[in-house]
Amino acid sequence: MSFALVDCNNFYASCERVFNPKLAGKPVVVLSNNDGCVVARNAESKAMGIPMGVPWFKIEKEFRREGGIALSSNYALYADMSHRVMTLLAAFSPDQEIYSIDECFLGMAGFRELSSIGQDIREKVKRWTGLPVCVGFGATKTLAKLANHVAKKRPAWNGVCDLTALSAEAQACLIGDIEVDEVWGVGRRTAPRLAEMGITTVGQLRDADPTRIRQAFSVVLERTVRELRGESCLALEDAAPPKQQIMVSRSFGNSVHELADLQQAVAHFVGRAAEKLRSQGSCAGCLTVFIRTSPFRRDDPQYSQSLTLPLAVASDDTLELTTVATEGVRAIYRPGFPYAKAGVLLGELLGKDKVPRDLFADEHGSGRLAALMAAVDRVNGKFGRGTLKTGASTGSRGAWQMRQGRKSPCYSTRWEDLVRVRG
Amino acid sequence: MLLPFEHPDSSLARAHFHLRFLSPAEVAERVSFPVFATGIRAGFPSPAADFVEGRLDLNDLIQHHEATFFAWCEGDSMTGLGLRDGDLLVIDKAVEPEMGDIVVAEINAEFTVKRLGRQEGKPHLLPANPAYPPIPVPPEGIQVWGVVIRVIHDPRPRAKRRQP
Repeated sequence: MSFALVDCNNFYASCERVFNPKLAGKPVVVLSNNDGCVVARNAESKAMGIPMGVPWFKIEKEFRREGGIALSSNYALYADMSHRVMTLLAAFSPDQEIYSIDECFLGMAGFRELSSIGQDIREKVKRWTGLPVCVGFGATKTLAKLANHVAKKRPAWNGVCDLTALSAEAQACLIGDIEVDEVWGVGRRTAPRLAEMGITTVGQLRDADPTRIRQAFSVVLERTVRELRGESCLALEDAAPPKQQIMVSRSFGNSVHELADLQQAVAHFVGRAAEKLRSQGSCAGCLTVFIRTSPFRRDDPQYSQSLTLPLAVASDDTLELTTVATEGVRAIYRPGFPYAKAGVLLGELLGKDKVPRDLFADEHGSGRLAALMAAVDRVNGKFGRGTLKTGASTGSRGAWQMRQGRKSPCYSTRWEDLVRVRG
Repeated sequence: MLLPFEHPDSSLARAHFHLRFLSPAEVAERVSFPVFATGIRAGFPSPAADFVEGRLDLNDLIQHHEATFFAWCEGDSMTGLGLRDGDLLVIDKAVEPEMGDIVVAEINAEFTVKRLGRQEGKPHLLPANPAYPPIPVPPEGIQVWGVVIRVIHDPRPRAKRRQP
């Protein structure tokens, strides 16, 4: 077996750069929802020492003084660019597992000259989309991830590292000293516990006794040890299994006090969650709503509450879910608190075809509602999210809406946002 | 939603049923009544039925979908080659730019569209309007963003143009 792991470099920042020549050579960061924290950095802002995840307000002054540019997350842009990259990569192998918005595994069994395939991948993705990628090859997915790490961090490799072409000694030499927390599946919590056992490097984890690792940690980490030894334990996963829960929640742009505002926000989240629910062909058996104040603002009075409501019949209908959710919010709302966040969790998901029929249901009526929901999804797919939404989620209120003051245009998905070219 | 005509006891039920029969949204369910369906269809077979092809789609003009982007053209430096202010440019990043191609390039932190050509033996970005000077390609080269493969122009007066 052998696998490739292809990963876009500084994906969000790179997407922004493709469509904005003014970003060339300048430090760029992309901020999280509500412009809270740094979620992506380009090479220049990494070189400035901007840490990942740092709250924006902490670095804003200095970053601006250095000529840095901060942008709000533009997920429509990133999703379109991701789709282009993943479609291109799918042509390099019959087996692809899209692992995240900016990385995918490819099955490379039977392919030769992997290094040169890696360079072809890099060149093609760069030319076709403008995005730089790095490619790692390994006998297992875990090794391919480490190879990608080498390709990314060590310029001498020119963006491609093929561990399968190296002897065991050369491999050990190359990756043995990498810190253990770079290994796929070794989290921030696992690494300190491994350190207590004297395991701080990739080489030490590879040479650890798998049985001991299983006893001290889990069968998952034991598999990691085997994978580091070149024994492939993790196969490519064709498609993400349907989600068991769907959560939509946001921190508000400004704190919210009124019940009506909270209900409007929650109705908006229900619309989005129900859309996700229908796109995976599921119905929800229960719905949880929650509201809370900000735990970071210690001087404010604190309140946090959630409520789970069962549905008589599992449903994927935005209108029905909205009714349940807004009633739920009414039940847990207490006046006098500055609310900072709310959310909706759809649970007990079940395939639409597996929902038991309700003896008392109005079959004709529910067929019409299903047609309505399908039409809503089609319209929103064609004309943009939120073109059609429930009245409950709309209105002049909206203190809860996200702050995205620095969002770039949707360069590749909206006519009015297209790049302007000087002719 | 329950409508009154669906109630079996209603004396209005049948009358409403006939009204519903004509409602366009419901046609799909209703044409399955055999009398009408076969009667009409069998009589007049379409002589073209065996020759139906898909409809033409402008996307067919695009060769590399993942590499193709659109942009609006602003300005009149390329009017001589038919690129006018307000035109929609179809740009393919996958095409290898060659001399003579109309390309989008990054110059002075801005996108510009010009023809790639030579002047006195040296590479230049050439406008197609005598009011504009050719732009020499600096020794370090330029970043060609993509090649313009189609220009979509709306010939109607500006006031009548409709943006998508």
